[in-house]
Amino acid sequence: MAVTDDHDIAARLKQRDAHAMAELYDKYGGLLYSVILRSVSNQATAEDLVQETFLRIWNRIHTFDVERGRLEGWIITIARNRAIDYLRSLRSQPGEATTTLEDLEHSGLFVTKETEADRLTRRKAVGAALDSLNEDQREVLELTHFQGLTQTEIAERLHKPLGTVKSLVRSALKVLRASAVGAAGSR
Amino acid sequence: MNQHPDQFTDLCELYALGAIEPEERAGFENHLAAGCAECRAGIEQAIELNEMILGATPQTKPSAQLRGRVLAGFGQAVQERRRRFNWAFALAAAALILLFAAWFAEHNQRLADTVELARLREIQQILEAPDTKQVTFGPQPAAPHGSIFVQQKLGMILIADGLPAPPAGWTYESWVVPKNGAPMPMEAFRAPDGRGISVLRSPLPVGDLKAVAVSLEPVNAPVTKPTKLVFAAPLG
Repeated sequence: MAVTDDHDIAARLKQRDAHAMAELYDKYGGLLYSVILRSVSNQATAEDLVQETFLRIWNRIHTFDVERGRLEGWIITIARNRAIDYLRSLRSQPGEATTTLEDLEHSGLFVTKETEADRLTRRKAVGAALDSLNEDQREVLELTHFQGLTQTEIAERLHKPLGTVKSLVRSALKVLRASAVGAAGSR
Repeated sequence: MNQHPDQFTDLCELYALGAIEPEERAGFENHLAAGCAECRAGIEQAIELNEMILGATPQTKPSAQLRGRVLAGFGQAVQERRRRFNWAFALAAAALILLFAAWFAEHNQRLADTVELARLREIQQILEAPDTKQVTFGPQPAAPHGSIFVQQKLGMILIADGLPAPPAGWTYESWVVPKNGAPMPMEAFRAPDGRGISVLRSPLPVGDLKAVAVSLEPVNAPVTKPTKLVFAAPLG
């Protein structure tokens, strides 16, 4: 079972077990690489950032709550933040005026409150809801989630009024939120 | 009790992405600092929703080398129980580099450096070849154990751990044992700290080979057949 495996991997990582790092890579390396590649669109950069991600996991695992923590969520966030930090450095605005990404890696924010089966059900529902979004909604989500842009920055990039962008972001997230809640309620 | 304005519900998602507008951030963080449980829960839910969105990314396979690159930084001395080739490669490469670094420290001679650098390059070529096959032997840590890397066109590398120190006047010799015929000597090698590396640099009739063996041989004596067999590792 995935959660049990993750607990085991996390516990062993805390004990500085390098085998656990190999298992973590085998389980999630492809996903983390894919998330980063989608953001930076460059294979060599993505691979460098994957290395940084695993190093950060290794160096921060002592903060992770093995009993209650959600390892997958934590490491996806770390990977995404490495990519966004990189993109912001290219835009000469490392962490400028937005939430400090490091704050979002606080492992206390990644707490398991449901079974793995429930999570899988919700994940499937969110995946289906993503497919149901229109092109404009998908575009703004791509820019918020994978490029780390604020709504103002999105409006500038897409040459759209800020109000329109806010409306698109809000409506897209509403659909996704409803699908996640609905899936949880259906079980 | 702290008030929870509606607009903060939407801000939870943006805050959780680190994408909240600067002018909205201060107000939202003040609100959070006032202890809004609804927003705290909202951020946790938003983080989970975000990770589901990120996790729905279609997967692209990274290069085969990435695994070795990532893991090379963690515990090179560890031998993986559920061994895969790339991980084994990273460990073996790290072990080789360490061994040769130690060797160079001991033998600071230009000629030797040149010869051994050439040898190191040959070893690297064998380890990096995509069709190099690895065979492990002797799983018991107390007994000689290790790996053999075989590449049909380039040759073979034997890495053996757990070798006892040879008696004075004796040295280790590696052998290729064909399925039919007498064992053929590979090369004499040392085993500082119980670890030895031996290399055969020539094309191999892989299908005709049965094993790789290690023996103890008197120093400076002609090597014709194994004198004292230490172990034989099957290749098949």
